[in-house]
Amino acid sequence: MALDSLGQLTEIVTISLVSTSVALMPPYLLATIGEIYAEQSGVINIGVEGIMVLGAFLGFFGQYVSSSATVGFLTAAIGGAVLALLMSYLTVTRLRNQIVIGLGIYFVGFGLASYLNTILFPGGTPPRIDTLSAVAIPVLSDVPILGRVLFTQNVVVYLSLLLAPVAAYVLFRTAIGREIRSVGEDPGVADSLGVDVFTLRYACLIVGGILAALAGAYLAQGVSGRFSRFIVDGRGFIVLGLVIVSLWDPRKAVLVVFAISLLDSVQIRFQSAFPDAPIQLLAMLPFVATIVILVVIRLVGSIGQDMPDALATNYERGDTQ
Amino acid sequence: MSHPLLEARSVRKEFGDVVANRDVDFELERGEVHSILGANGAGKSTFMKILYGIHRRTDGKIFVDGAPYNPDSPADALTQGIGLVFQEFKLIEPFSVLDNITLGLDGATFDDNSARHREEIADLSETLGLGLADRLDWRVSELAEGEKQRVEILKILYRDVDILLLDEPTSILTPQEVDEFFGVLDRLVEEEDLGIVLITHKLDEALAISDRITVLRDGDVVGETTPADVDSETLAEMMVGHDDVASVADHRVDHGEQDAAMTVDGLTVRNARGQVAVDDVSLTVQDGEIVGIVGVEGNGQTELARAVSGLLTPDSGRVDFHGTDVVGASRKGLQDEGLLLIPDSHGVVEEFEIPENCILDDYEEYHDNFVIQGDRMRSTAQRVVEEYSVKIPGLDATASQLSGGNKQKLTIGRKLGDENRRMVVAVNPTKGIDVDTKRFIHDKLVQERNEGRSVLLVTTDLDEALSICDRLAVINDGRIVSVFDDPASVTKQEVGLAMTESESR
Repeated sequence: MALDSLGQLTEIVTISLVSTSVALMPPYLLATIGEIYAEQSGVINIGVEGIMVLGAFLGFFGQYVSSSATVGFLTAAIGGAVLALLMSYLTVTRLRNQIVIGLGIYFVGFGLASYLNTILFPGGTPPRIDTLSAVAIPVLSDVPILGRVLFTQNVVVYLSLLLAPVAAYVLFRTAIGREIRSVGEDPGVADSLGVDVFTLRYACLIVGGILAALAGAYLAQGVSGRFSRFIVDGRGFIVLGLVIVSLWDPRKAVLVVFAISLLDSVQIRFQSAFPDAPIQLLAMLPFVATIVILVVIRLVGSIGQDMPDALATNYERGDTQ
Repeated sequence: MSHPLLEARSVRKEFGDVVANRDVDFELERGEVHSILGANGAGKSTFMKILYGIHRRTDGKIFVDGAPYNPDSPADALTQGIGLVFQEFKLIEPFSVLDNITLGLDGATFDDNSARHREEIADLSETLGLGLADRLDWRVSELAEGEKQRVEILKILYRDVDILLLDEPTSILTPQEVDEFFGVLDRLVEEEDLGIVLITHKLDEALAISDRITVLRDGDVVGETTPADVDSETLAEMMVGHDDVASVADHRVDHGEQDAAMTVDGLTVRNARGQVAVDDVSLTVQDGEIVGIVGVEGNGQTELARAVSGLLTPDSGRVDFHGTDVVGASRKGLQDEGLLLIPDSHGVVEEFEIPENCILDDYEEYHDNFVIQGDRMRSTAQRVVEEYSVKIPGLDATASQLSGGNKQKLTIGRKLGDENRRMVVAVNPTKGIDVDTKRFIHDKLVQERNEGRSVLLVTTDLDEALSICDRLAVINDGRIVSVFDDPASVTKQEVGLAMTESESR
């Protein structure tokens, strides 16, 4: 009897752990897919973290003011698009170093969000907003185990899980996807065949910026119901590693992101179960895991042929010898 | 009154102070191959890039079918019926053949347009005899070089061009692939009525395939002729502009019996992958002698050169330089001993300015308490540039602004400025360089020899080896398979055979 209930308990704990992990997937998944688009077009945006923080604030603020989650996400999306537009202008048009500008974008996003938070909510305890509620999908949610894990989640979880195959389809099965990848492989060749290198890079970066901002907004609107400038907590940097581990493929990103979200939720569980454990060590887990996986990948195989050849290089049409 | 398919009048192109095309006239009719022949740096590629919309001409007029032609990008040139196949293929290696051909065709849509074109592309490949119909789903990286070139041609012809520009198309092909390729060109002009412009520096090729030949030199048209009216000697003279094409070895100086500058004994070297690249090689180079090591690329000659000049540590064997065993000595140490290395690729730092490039070997002599002496550095550079007539836009230009030949002149000028030098190891010193600079470099190496120093010339260029070497060793599969003590009396065929015959051990 006692053994039986222990078994049940384990099952419940496991299901709820996995279910929490799935609920934690959208921030990683959205930002990773967005960054995959940017990198497939040949531009690396290491400022994802900054865009996520700004997105988190704007999402929170939009919903706080309007009491509408949709307005929150829209506000975040606009903010992300604007920051990405700035990044595009400086790298694609002005040919500035992508790493330097990306770092700048991180500081701008992070700083702007902190500043706005300070002047709009001076002092006192930060206000709370309602988090997204789970929407059980009829019939499917009644399936044992999977029903709880996959089909009793909030709407953003569903949408971001659906986004992965759609993003992969566009990237690998359509003319525009082929053009995007050609621009990331060899912009000179693409340009000589009439592919619009500049527009595609702008578009991919902006899509990436919008998705990163939505990812950040989800942390405020879907997970914590609050904003703090530490809300993103390095996830935007982990995303840069996840893109590599996914081999620049949105479908593989789903698995990779699930694994990292599982670690995230284990760490959160652990923290509440053992409040005395050093949280800094636990918080390191996702970073350590990313590094370990990257090293293993490097040892086992090579990422060379999947990496866009022209990644992180700007393209200039030249009239020099 | 019908117009030529393509007509260029007084086309001029300047890059800063350098005039790449001075006054180029050119005409092309439908159904002909018109070659542009010239040494490297003659302005062939510049002219081609103007036609393809990469460069904008400084002056002059171009007409296609009588209408003014001013392309502002390659994509624009393609839509106006002119396509260029580059020497280095413009293909996306991880993409399939089909995706490479359809890229950019129907705009950035959300449907899969490749499938729609598949059949037509396969048909066109069959019509032109390109043999790619069953390779459309292969990744380009899986194809042989000759096949990649045909993908390029198919890609461009599928875009309905009338004029096909080919930039040194045979340089990466095997002799057999060259024959196939010429067969394709014949079909294109005879059956498809295209106009083809072929850029080359190979005389036989121009004579074999062309209807007309235009020779460029120093950015100017030297003349237009047909293969029927000209022979290769005349063409060579038009290209080079010198009367004497005699071998440099004619003014050989006899130094009598000399000391051994370098003795290599039983040298065995492994390459980066751990395979034996140099297999038990012994040889001697005397003062006042140019010894050539010839071989087909990849037969261990690079490793041999690196091992004797201090860049690779051999597995076993001895290398004596003027009586001292130098195995394990560093490049820098050997250089201080007077053993210079002219490396395989241009020995310049592209981003550095010319003066900085001129002191790369002995920079430590150009500073004063950690501060570089700019004036001394510049005067050294000035001397190198003048002595070696390096064509530069200005002393402050970076090496990346120089042509290949001028980079090499700068490198050699810098190296041979070392007054303590006793021996030069040169690896393919004239690879990819125009005929003029080539002669110049040969003269310099011969001068080294004539002044009593020794030269080890490692080269894949058989003509070069035969024209300036006093002794010639053939390396094949890491071994010295033959030594010719009197290259003047050897035929090219004999040496070529030794280079290519397998399992001659």
